[in-house]
Amino acid sequence: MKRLSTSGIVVAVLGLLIVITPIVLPVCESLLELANGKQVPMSCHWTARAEMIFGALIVVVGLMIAFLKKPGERQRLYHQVAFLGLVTILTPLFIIPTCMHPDMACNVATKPALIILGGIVLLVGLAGSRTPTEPSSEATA
Amino acid sequence: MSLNNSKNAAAKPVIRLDNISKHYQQGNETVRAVDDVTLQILPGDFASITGRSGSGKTTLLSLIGGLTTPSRGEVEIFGEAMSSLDDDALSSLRANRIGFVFQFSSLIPTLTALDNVRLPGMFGEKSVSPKDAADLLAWVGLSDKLQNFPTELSGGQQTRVALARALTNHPSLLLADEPTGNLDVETESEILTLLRNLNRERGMTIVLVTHNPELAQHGTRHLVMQSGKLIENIIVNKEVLIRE
Amino acid sequence: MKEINLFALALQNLRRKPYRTIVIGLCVAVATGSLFAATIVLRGVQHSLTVGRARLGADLVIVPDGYETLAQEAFITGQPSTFYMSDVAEKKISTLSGVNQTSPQVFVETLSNASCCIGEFFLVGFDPETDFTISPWLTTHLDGKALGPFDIIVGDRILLREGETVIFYGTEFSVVGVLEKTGMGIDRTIYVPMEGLRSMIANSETLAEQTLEISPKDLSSIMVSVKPDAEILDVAELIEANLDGVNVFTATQLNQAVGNQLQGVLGITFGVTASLWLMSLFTIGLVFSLIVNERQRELGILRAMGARRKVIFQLVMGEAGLLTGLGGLGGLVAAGVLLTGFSRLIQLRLRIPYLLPNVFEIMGISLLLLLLALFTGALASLHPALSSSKMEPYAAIRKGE
Repeated sequence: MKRLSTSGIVVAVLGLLIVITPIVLPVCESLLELANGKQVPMSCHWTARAEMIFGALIVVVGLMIAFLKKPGERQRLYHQVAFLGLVTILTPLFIIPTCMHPDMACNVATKPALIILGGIVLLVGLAGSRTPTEPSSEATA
Repeated sequence: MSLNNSKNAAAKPVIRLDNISKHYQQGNETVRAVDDVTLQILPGDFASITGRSGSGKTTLLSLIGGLTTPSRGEVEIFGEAMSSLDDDALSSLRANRIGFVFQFSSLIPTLTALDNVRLPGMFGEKSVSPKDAADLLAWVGLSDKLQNFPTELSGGQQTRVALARALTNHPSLLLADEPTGNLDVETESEILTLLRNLNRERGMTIVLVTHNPELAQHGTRHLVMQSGKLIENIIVNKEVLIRE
Repeated sequence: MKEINLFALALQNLRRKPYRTIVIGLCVAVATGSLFAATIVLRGVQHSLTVGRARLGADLVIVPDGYETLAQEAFITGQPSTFYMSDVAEKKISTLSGVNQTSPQVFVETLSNASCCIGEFFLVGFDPETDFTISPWLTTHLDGKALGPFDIIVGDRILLREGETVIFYGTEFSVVGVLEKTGMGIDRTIYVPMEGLRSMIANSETLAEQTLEISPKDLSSIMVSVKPDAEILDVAELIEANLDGVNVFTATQLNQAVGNQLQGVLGITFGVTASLWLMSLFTIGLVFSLIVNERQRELGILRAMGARRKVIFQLVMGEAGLLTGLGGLGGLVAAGVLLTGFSRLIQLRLRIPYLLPNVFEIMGISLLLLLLALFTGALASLHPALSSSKMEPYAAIRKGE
């Protein structure tokens, strides 16, 4: 089996962690029923859904990096990784913000976990998108 | 009985060994790696030391280069007694006036050929610029291998890099311990040519340990070791100096 | 490599064996990060208690007998609790020797998921005439302006801001101020003037989803300030001797309650961290002995090139220092990020007051721990560094063959 890129595997694992974060650290259902029967929409539900999709995309890009041979091709994919990491961070903050109440589960656990994982993905993407190193030449007799 | 080469009689010796011995304890046994050797190497000499495995060739070379201290006797190098030099002074001597080439790969595996050649500059009087290192590598025929790591070089190429590294600080004395030990005949010949050029064109004093007695014929002096003793010290124009 | 120097060599040597470097670095990172986290949490708790105590204002807190723990819980974490005693207790206490001032409080818990809002709130009715907990804040922040009966002051973690209105049990209130963060229960508390609270209770039967069964004579707690020349504990004993059915605790005891809670957790954490440090020390020492052993020939050749003993010593120590320094730095950064991100979760799970220490203190703690990491590397590699630097070049070269 040909040797896979370690960093690609790392990206894929990070993506997987983002996907499972809303499962391990659950958020509210889409609607929350109050004592008087009124239903209040919970935006964090949609935040989690979006993050799971981004996480899945990161897994796919990570696997592509792992299987690709040429450093130049990998570099382009790392740009995408960095972008996805940034989107992962921005989603719970601005794009689909979580609930207002600071003590809700989404704010206490899920949101910080996603931001931290998104930050790591962003850093890995930025590091990987630097100038690729050429494979070393064979020794001559 | 000893005879001196009349041509070099007036020159002060670069190396002088007076009744040098080096002993080790191996269990209850005392191993005499070098046993009562007296020797002079004159400026411009290209001395080859031959002998069987365990005869004390490498130990003798190490004594000459100050890599080990004798159990008995005195080593004098460039007119100075080594026993009078502290470790810092000895290190300075090795950094600025002596070059070493070792058997087997002695290159730092994590440094490129260029950086390996630049390394002695850390310990010498001045650092080695990338250009100077590149020039040295070009002289040994490796101008296209500057950025290669040792694992990407053949045995012969590694020896050339080691030779270039040994010349970095413009030493007066080059000590080479079986540099062609594991090389093919052709490559061995190439390395020998480089050494001869250094000796003849630059007047560098060279002491070469080799397993190959034939190589010894290309130098100016042939020293033969056996069981720690120097049994032959021959000027290569066949004038015998000492025979046991 | 632009510059050939000891630092560059040491870095290259670490990169030579990336997995070994990562494993040891992780070891140090985990030890450093754990110690950093434990220290910051401890200091955070102490900081919160200091700030909270100052805000509390009272020397003694009197609650109904058997509710001491719940009351402390309410002060520490803001977990709403409701318990009541007769206001007769306040009248008696105010006459006792050593008592300077008393002020009653009434606790009401709002409904979770009431029509107004999400989550339960902790309402504390206070008497603006006698209060000395909120009033100092009112003086400085509202220029001593009189508080209307339906004007409320909210804690930092309440999602209401000045000028907003909110309905509790059918009665509308206006937010006139937000208290600074303390990390304690005060942050989740809404202070309501007693008149407004009593009105809300009375009207709850007709206006609210649920009727509040709280008598106008009911009190939840009595805050007591002690005369300057009196001993707090003496006054506490006097109160307990003269009143039945009450429990008295001091601010110090409040701290102790927190301390007891934390003791177990922090004790385990510090114990584990100390073990990690020791393990790191031995591991690094062992690994560097192995490293020096396997690079014996290389070090001998460096000596042959003219490297002094000091240089070899510095190379080995430098490599260890670089490794532990980078590992320590990584641990500090990771712990810092996790602590900042999950501070609220830590506070809720451990049920502790917690307020992040100031930046300078955090930097000081970080620097100390980084130095500790570097010292660990230096100590662990001291013996291998000394032994390799003392070895004769020839012996080193032969040993490595």
